[in-house]
Amino acid sequence: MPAINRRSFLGAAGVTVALPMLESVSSASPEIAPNELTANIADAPAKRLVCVGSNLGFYRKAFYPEQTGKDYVTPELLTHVDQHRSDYTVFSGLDHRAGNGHGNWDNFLCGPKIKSISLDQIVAEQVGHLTRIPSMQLCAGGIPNQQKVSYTRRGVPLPMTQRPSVVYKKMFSSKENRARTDYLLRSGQSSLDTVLEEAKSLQKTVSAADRKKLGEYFSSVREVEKRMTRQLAHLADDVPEIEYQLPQYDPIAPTLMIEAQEIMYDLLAIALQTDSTRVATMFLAGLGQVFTLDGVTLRAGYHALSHHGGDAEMIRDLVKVESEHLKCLNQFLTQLKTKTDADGQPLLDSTIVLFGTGMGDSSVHSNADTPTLVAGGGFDHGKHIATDRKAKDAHLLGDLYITLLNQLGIEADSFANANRKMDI
Amino acid sequence: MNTRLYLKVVAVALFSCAITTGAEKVPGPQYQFVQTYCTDCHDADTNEGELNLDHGQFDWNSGKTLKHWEDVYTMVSRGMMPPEDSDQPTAAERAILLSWLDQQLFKHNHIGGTPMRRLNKREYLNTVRTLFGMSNFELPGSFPQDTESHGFDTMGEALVISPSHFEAYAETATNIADYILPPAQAEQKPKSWTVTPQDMAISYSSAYIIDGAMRLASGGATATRNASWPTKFEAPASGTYKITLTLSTKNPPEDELPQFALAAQASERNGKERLLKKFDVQSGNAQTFEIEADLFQGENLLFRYPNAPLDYEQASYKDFLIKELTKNPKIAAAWKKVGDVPRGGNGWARVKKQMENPDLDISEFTPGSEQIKKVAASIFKDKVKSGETIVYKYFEEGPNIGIHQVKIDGPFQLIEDQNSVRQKHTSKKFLGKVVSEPSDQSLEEFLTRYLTSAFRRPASKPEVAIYTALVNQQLASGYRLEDGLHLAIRTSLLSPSFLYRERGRGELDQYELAARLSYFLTSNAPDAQLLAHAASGDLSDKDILRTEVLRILKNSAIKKQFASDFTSQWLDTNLLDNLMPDPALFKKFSDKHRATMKAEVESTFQEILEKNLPVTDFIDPDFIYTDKIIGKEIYELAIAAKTKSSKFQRYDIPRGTKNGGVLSMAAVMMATANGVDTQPVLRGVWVMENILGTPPPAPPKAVPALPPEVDGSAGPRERLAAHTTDASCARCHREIDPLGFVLENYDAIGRWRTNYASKGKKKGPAVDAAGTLPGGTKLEDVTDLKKWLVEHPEYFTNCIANKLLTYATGRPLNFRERKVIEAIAAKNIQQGNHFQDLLLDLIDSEIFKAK
Repeated sequence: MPAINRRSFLGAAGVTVALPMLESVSSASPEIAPNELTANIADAPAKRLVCVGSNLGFYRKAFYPEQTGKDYVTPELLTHVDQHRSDYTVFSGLDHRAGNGHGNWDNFLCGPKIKSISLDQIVAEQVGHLTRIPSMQLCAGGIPNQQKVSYTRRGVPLPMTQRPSVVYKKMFSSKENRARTDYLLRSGQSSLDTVLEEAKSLQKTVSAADRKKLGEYFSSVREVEKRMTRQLAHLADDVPEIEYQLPQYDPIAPTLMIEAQEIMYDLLAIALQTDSTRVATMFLAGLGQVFTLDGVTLRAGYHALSHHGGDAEMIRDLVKVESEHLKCLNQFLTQLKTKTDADGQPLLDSTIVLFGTGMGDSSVHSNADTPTLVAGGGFDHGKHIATDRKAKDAHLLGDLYITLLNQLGIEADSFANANRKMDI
Repeated sequence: MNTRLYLKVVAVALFSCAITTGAEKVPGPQYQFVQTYCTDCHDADTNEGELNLDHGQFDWNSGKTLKHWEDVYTMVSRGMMPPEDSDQPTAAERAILLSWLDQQLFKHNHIGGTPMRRLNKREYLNTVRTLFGMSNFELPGSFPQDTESHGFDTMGEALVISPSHFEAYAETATNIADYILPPAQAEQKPKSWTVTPQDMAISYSSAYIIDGAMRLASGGATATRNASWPTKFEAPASGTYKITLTLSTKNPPEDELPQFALAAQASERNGKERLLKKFDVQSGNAQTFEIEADLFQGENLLFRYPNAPLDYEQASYKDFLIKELTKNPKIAAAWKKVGDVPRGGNGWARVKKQMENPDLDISEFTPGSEQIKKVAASIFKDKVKSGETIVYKYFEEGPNIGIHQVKIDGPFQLIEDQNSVRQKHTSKKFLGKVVSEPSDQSLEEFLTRYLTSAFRRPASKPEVAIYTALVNQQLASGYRLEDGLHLAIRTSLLSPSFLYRERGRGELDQYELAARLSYFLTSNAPDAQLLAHAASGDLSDKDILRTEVLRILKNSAIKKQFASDFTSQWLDTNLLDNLMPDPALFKKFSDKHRATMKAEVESTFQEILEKNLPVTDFIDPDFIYTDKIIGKEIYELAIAAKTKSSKFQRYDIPRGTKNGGVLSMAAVMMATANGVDTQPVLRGVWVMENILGTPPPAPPKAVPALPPEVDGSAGPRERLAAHTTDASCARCHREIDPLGFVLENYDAIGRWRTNYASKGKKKGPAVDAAGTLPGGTKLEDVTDLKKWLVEHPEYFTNCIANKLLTYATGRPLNFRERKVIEAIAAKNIQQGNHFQDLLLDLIDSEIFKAK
């Protein structure tokens, strides 16, 4: 595709980031060699990043306070997290200047160019190697075909897990599973020994160009060997003993979305506490389901409510549904406040929770002015920071992402179309 | 055997020649040229374009030297250097430099140079499917994408292996080994589930709970809008289950009993529905139905009311509405009164409230009245929105089916689902006797056979011994034979002998040749017959090689795949999948249209190949493949518009028109635009690269793109004028832009236009499609370009030959190789310019056969 590359090359020439263009793919391992790790993790105030995005967004008038600064009157949706008021900041008027429609939802963590590396994966590249699971991609509710949250540097969307039982297995595999993983890893090591020997024997018969290729092969095998050794070590020592009871069924039915969300947050909190991972995303995949809240079955599906067209009754029910998301978030923040890290400090103090959406107003499919909330991570919280989108020097959502990256010890001057760090 | 020996000698000779040539002096006249015209900028100080020519001698063994001098050759021969504003050499001076360079570059470049090449993603998938007989096997979603280079995904240099690749290979290898030798499964004991209405799903307005039962009231096809299902059940194992349903109906229609349909579907809801049973539900008390049904692992139940009178997904919804509004004119009056009725039950409650309003005037809404029809039409207009609302009437009043409870017990007897039957068959066929009749001998036989097909060459005795030891080592540690084979399979799939092909320098050996030919034409490993020829050592024999190519291409599926794999990359039509044209250009553009456009490219390629037509038929054929819609809407073909059938087919067309050939195809015009408007620069570059075979040099670094057109007042020529005023841009853009302008008559989806679109009703400015060829030949529009290309077949013949061999060999072809291709192309043109002949000559060339 030479013709097209040429133009995009010209366009991107000014903003090249000094990161390798290697293939990066699986949720298993972001592609970055240890000598390219530029983050100063040890001294960073924040150590972990959780990004939660809601498919249908939030009703802005119930999400945004009318006043800015610290003394705002709590808007309806935020009453559910008000107990953590001093631990979060709410942002209005931010977005990526991306296109509109459901298809452009993916700009949430990518910026206006979908398939650009997402915020979480930038972080995973830097800290993923430190934990058993480099990063996790979760989903509550069914997965609509189009939307994706995380993209690798190569533009590969990472698959999301919607079954809590699968997440659970990955985090705390059963004895039988562990035995099999152990077997696969150990026998896998003799696999690698065998192919390494073979590759070594080839070295005599190759050309100079081949030798470079074999070099790639050797370093890949050795890196995978290291990862296997690390996994084996984790298998032996680190599998946390936890008492958490999953339901007998996987809540993948769309009407069980809230239940799924609660469980996923629980698992996430445990994953962070046990340092099984430091980077996670969760997609709140609501669409057509009709919820039963406090014993009352609503009289329209979530999607229908989101197309409220300004109707007061529809908005009332929509806010009821959205309140459930905030209640779940509240429980999650409470857990992060209660659980402590290795130093005995609340997890929340060193965990950034980004709560937002790629959709600004789903009633008209607008992706502008997306409701955003940032909790934890050692910031001076408790405020409403409003941005006037029409102002010439208006901050972009990417400016906030730069701030988050810096807080995690990652040097970044720009994120997508943004290049001005934003003060919190 | 003789020819092979001879070629080996030649290869050795070339190699030794490369060693003996070292640093060489630039002879006097050429050195003077360089000093006079080049070193002002290209010396150590200025080092323009990181090119320093200010040396008296050069080491021709260095790849850098070759590249630099080749750049010089290109720039000087095409008049791009020296720059316009500097002193210009005479034609004779140019010739002195160029003829010397021509000789030097030919002498110092050598045929070959593909590095060890790993299988790309397509090849890898096809290869494992064939190797294990798993035609449905899919790669994990996280499997890495390949990097393209020089337009193709087969290029050795770009096919890197990183740790992520290796992890993906290891994961895939374990999946494959698990499929062939599945780990033991835990036993499933029967369980019991009681599903109450609270544990059934409501999606959009598919169902609603009233009076303790989940009500179904619409019969549309979309499950998410018309069905309900248990939220906390899925079959834990494939087996027989007892299903007990308690159902009732409210206000059933008089003429037909409501039918309840029980179906099964994968619980992720991504597969097909399987009908299990239908029940007639009588009015009166709730009835209990009991059936035994087979459910496959992971399946859930699905509940439907298929013969519900309301089906808001069909056109018949309108008549239904007229009937209902006639029967109850209050609905019509109230609906109109509410105006914009919200979706769902809230909306229906709003309508009902109005119906109870004593002041509601229904006098206009008499049977058969225009008013009834008008309201029905307005409700019908947004079917889904109003359907999601009005269905609540039937949830409340009927006709509906109520599901009171569903009980599921099982599995009582385990069954084999299709997947496990297929799995067992595949596994048995693959393993043969090795597990059923284990012995040292059967193990050795199995490993010899398997490794030979995995490595695409005979497995050596030491290799078989290594894998035998691997299996025995598992047995010695107390594992089963199956575990040992599992490990052997996993290991072989990580081996460089499986992952890579072609190694070393010189001529491909017979097995490597078989693989190169097979991956070129089929993107898959060589079949038994190719390997047999490799074994007998006669594959590089001219006649046998030709016979084999024609045999492989006889298979129509393979030919189609080859056409698709090659053309989609050569012509960039693989970009189509990511493009969505502006609705202003094409309303409701769908995958079907996209598929037709791509199929045109592939079918054209196949026809020219199969019938051995002239290569120039790619440019100006007397036929076109399309269907009625694209033929009519985009190509404005009268003959397609007249056709009754909507099928994709071949039409005869006159030559020399705006239709037909790769320069007129919708797929190409769409791929070289952005879905909204055209960009002459992109198309100009595309023509130079893919049709003329004279790609422009890489653009300088850090040049900003031209500002996008904001107000629509400037035409493309005005916007691109900056390219010709700046000397450094003009050097290439005076070749690129005019070629792009020639295609301006095609809009962003390939439809012919004489005026640009404008926002108002008035016509936009007229399209000026005049342009020039790099040599200065004037062109009125695209038909002139096509005519010129047919009259000068060497350009396009050379170009497509280069593309084919680049794709096949996985290396950018060097100066010498391009000269060899020029000779092949010239001979081909002399002999009638037939495409199949060209392909055969290319495959029979030393370039194709060199590592």
